[in-house]
Amino acid sequence: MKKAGRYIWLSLVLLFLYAPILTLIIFSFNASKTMGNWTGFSLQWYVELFRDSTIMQSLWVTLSIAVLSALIATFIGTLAAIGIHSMKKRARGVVENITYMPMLSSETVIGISMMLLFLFLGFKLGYGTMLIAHITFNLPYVIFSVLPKLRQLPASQYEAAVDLGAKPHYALRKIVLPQIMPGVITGAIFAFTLSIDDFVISYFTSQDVSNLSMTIYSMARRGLSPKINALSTIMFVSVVILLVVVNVRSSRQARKENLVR
Amino acid sequence: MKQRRYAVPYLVWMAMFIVVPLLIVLYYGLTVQGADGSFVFSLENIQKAFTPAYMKVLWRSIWMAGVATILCLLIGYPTAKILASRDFKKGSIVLILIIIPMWMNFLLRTYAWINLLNDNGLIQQILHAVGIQDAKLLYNTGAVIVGLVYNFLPFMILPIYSVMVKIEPHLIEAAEDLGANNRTVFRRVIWPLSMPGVVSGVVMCFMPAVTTFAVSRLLGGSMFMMYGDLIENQFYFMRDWHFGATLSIVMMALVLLSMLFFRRKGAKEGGLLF
Amino acid sequence: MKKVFRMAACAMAAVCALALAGCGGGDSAKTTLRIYNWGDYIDPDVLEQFKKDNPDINVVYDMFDSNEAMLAKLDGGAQYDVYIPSDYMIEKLIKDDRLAKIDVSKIENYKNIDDRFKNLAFDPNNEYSVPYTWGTLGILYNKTKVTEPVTSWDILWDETYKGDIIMYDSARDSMAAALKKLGYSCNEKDTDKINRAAQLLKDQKPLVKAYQTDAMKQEMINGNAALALVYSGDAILCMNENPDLGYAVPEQGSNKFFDSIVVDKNCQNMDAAYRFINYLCDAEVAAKNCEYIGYATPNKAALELMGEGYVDNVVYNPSDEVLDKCEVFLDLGDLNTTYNKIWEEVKMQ
Repeated sequence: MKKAGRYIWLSLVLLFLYAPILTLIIFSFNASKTMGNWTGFSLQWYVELFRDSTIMQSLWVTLSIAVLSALIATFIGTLAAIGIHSMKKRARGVVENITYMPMLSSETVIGISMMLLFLFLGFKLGYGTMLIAHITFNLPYVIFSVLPKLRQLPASQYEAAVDLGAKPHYALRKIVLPQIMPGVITGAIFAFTLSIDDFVISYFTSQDVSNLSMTIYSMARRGLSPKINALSTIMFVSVVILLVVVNVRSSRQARKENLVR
Repeated sequence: MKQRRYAVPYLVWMAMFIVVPLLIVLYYGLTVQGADGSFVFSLENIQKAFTPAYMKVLWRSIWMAGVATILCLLIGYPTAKILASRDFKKGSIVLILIIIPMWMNFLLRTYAWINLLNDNGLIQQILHAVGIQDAKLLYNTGAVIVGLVYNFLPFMILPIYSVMVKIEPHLIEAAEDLGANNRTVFRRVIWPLSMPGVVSGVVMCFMPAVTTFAVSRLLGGSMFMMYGDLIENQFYFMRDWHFGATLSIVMMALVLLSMLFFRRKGAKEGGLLF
Repeated sequence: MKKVFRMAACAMAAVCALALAGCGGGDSAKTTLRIYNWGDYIDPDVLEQFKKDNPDINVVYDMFDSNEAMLAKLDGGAQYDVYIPSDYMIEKLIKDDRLAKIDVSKIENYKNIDDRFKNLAFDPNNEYSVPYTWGTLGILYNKTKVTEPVTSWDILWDETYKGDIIMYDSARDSMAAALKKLGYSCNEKDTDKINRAAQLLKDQKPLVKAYQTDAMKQEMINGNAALALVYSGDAILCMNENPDLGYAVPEQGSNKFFDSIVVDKNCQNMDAAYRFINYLCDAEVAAKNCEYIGYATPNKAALELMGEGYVDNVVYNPSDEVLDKCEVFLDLGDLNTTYNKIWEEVKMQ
């Protein structure tokens, strides 16, 4: 009974999250250009998608920036969270409050102020500046994903390891890191997600490169093309296939290990 | 060796790319353009930002972000709890499924929402079938809140999950052995232990929700403004970067002050908030 | 510990170096032409062909989604050589002394531009801009919901269509409808008249379904609203998708808009800019390009090439009689803020 209740709840949550996604997937197979106006089944948008070099280029920019910025932000942010956690109360308060700022600022304000900074420093607007901006707005999300895990951690374990002669760095890697891992992964996922979806900040901090969001937003005046629906469908399907493969593998491995035991 | 030093790379980054841009914003916010084009220190924009018309927009944004955050918590907390429970095997996969929709472009998924909610949309048709006529689903406060909940829900679920997945089952068993019923176990053990995750989730939903602008424009049909729209308007249409910066500063200050207040209060009551 | 620091430092240094160097860099022997245009507002093949024909020019192509977003980026200090803003923005850029004069004698294909679209009020002596696309502001209506003929702006204030009207989310365009309804100019500077139009927009709010720009198209095509204030370019896109839609320019007159090519004052390579403009004005190129974009072309030779379907289409190619009643938007100077303030109030109330 309890189990059924759980599945119903999860299904409802997933239904809410996937209602628009299913809609846009369905309309990627639409003959007409407009979402909601079904005129027949067609694969033409998939064909046109692969011919559109602007979209394919911006897809590449988006994915590479998302992966790089997520990796770098997760690395710096996890270290930062460990550091902040062991700071004295006052210093911690100051750093945490400043870290809230990028989350609290309107994207337009961040984008324009960073553009002013980059141009003042003599940076050439482009891929690099876009990457810096993405790392910057990703960092708070990583830090605030890792911090709660550190708060949950009993301090005694790390101290015991150090007392027993482990080098601090070793103790951190072997004792602390595995335990805060769910937070680190959450942070990395958030960083990737935010980076993929950013438009305003990318717009102001780049020149001669555009990510997918910039391409899509600027397309809006003439109507979003179902090519974007097709692209989203492909992205969605590939992630799901990847998930299934990883899942089947890991459960097979688990079964094997059980047999050995 | 002090662990504090691990924060150094971030502190350098923060000083350069968070603090300096903030100082630029502060500089713009506290100046106005003089007759000769130079920037003159002035508090008139601060005064202007506190006039009732603008404050009304701020309160409405805070109110709407608050409602959306509470809804995210009400939906997200039980979800995270289910996914984190020991006997639920596929927790991490469902978690990924929860975040994937956010990888589809924001504009596209919002257009898809408009499509679902509009007068000929699927949801209206279902409502008609059940006998509910003339429900207005789009271009109002409700639609904007649905949009906010939709876009921020994953940011509530993941942090809570990551904390709950490591709550020691012994603690719960111990409480049960000591005679606590389910409700007491939740209230006295699970909820306090999951608090750090809840706080992170609330911060990650509430703060960006206050400043969001595109959701209200698309799902609200611009029938009213949120604070993010107002700020954007200053930069784009009014071309008054100074006032735009001022509005931004006022909002940051108010939200941070109110958080400080709650933090103090939480500390006094011995709670685990922050 | 040290290792961690070293890695962090390396990562940060690498990112900053990347930013300083700028990626690509490109061939230094080539000259660079930085073009800034609306998104999806050029046929990709047309742009490709230009790159192929001009191997000595390194084309940097960026897109914006509104005049205001473009201006904000220029204000911040981003540099572009050639961009394609709309009329009122061009006048503003001229006033701010940010544009280079264009010597039309260096643009051979300039002769293709219809004389009707030369010397427009925002650039009276045609010194700074070459028209790229144009259109009118009007009313898009759904014939299944609106059976009466659409001839006047009054219909946007008609109680019958309460909750079925979509207004354009832009100060100038919505004000234009209100001012024209009252019989004034859409560049009105008289405070009294402006206030009367503002009141009209505030009174209209209960009748309005939504204030939208781009999202309106999906709603109109799917038949979710009866009337919308739109540009003819958008109207054509919508009418192609839904045959129930009609478009009318009210008899009181309206606005005609132009998106024109301009050259930045700091353009490093005027010759490359001229070559690009000349290429876009070529009859065949312009015809192909405008068929892709769907907006009307000011290029007479191109229109002839495009054939009857376009020439006879009154939405695409309205008669002189309609055109004469339409004004272009002019930069209002300080009154810009007033117009925008009014619009902010309408939406905030």
